[in-house]
Amino acid sequence: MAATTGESRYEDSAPGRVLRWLASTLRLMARNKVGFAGFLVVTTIVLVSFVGPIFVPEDETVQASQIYQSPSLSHPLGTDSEGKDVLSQIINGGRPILTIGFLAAAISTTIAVTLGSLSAFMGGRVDTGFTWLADMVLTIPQLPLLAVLAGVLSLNSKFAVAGLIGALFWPTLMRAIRAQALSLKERDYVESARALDLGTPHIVFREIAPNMAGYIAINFTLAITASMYTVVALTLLGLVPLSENNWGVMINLAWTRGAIFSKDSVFYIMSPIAAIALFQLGLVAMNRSLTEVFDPRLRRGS
Amino acid sequence: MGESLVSRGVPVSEIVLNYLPWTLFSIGTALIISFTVGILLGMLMAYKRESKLDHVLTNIGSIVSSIPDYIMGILIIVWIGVQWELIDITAMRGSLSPGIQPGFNLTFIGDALYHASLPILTYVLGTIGLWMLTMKGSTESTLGEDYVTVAKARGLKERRIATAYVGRNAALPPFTQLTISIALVFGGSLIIEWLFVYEGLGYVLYNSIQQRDYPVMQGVFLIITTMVIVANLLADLLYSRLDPRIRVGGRD
Repeated sequence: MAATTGESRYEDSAPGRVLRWLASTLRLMARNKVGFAGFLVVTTIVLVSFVGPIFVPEDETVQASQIYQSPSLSHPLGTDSEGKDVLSQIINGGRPILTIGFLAAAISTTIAVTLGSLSAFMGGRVDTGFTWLADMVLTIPQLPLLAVLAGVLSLNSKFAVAGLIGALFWPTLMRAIRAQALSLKERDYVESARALDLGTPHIVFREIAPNMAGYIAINFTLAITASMYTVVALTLLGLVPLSENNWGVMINLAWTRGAIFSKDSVFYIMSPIAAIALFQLGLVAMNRSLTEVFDPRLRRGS
Repeated sequence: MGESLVSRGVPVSEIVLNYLPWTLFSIGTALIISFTVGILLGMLMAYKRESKLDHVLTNIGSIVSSIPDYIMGILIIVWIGVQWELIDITAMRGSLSPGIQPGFNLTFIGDALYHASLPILTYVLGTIGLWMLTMKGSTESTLGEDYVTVAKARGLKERRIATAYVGRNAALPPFTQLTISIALVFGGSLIIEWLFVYEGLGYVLYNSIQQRDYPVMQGVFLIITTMVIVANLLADLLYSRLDPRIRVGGRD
C-alpha cells in the first residue's frame, strides 16, 4: 500500500522517477550477493580510474636508484624500470583502456542488435545479405586484420581504435540476436503490433529488442572485456601508439624492458594484468545480478 | 605474391612457405590435443555430475577459458620461466635448435616438439576450457535422450554406450565450435609466436608490420585467411562424416 502511494507521488517528476529506478535497480542488484560484489568491484575500478587521477597524479620522476623496488609503504606495488611508482601508473592507466573497451563494446553491440533484429524481422534478401556479411567478417582472423590495419592506418585516436574493434566484433552476437529475434517474431504481441501496422522501427526497437535486454546487457559486458583484451594485445605488440600511459602500455614496457630477464620486475608486469583480470572478474560476477535486473519474471519472486 | 621490400629479391611466397609449416604444426598439434582432452574431460565431468571432480574441473574450465591466450603466455613465461626457473625459455626460442637438419628422425621431431611445446601449451590452455564446458553440457543432455535409455535397457555394455551412443552425439556441438576457434587460434598465433619467439607465420607477420614490409604483410595475411577458410571447410566436411543427418545428397 505504502509503495503504491509513493509511486503515484513521484510519478510525474522526472528526477524522482530516475531516483526510484536507480534505487530499485540497486535493490535488485543487491539480491544476488556474488553479483553485488562484482558490481562493487566494477564500480570501484571505474571510479578509481576516472576520479583517481585527480588525487594521485602520475609519478613521472625518473629515479635510477629506485628501479624494480619490491612493494613498500611508499610504493605499494613497487617501482618500474625507471623507478616510477607502479600504483600511480595503474590508477592513471585505467581510463584509456576502459574508455576504448566501453566505446568498442557500444559500437559492436549496437551494430549486432540492429542488424540481428532487422535481419530476423525483414527476412528474405536482407537476412541473406546480413548473415553473409556476418559470416564473412567472422571468418577473417581478427587480430591479424587489426594488426595489419593498425600498421597501415597509424591509429592515433582512441576513437579510431574503438571504432575499428567495434566494426569487427559484432558477428557472433548478431547471429545470436538473429536467432532469438526469429523466435520472438512469432510471439503474439509482435503479431498484433504488425497487424496494427506500427512500422518496422517500432516493432524492432520497442517490441523485439527490449525482450532481449538481459541477453544484450550481458553480451555488452562480455564485449567490453573482449575489446579491452584486444586493445591491450595491440598495445603489447606496439601497434597502437604508446604516447599515453595505460595498462596495455605498462605490460608492453614491462615485457620489453626486462620482465623476461629480471626477477624483481614481477610486480611491474603483474599489476596491470591483475587490474584487468579483476575488472573482468567483477563484470562476470555482476552478470549474475544483471540477469535478475533485466528479467522481470525473476523479479516477481521477491 | 611479389618480393619482400626489406630483404631484396626474396619472393614473398618463399618466406611464406618457409614459415607456414611451423605455424600449422604447432596449431594443429595444439588443437588436436586440446579437443581430444577437452571432450574427454567434459564427458567425465558429465558422468560424474555434482561430484568434487566435476566442480573442480568446471571451475578450472571457466577460469582457463576466460583468460586470453596471450596473458596465459605471459604468465607461463613470467612464472614458470623467470620466477621459478623451471624451464630455460631462452633455449626454447626459435622453431629449431641451431644445427638440427629437418628430416624424418627422432632428433628432429623431438627438437621441433621441444621448441613448439610452450606455444602448444598456451593454445591448449586457451581453448580447452571451451571444449570441456560445451562437452559437459551436451553430454548431460544426451544422457537424458531416449536412445540412451533404450541402449541401457538392451543391456549394452556401459563402455559401448559411452562411445557409440553418448560420445558420438555429444561431440557434435563442440565440434561446430571448432570452426570458430580455428580462426581465433590462428589470429592469436600472431601474438603468441611473438611472445615465445617461435618462428612461424605470426612472427613473420609481426616483423613485417614493424618494418612496414607491405608485400610480406599482404602475403602472410592472405595465407592466414586462406588457411582459416580451408580449415573451416575441412571441419565442415568432417562434420558431415560425424553427423550423417546433415548429408545433403540424394534424400531431398
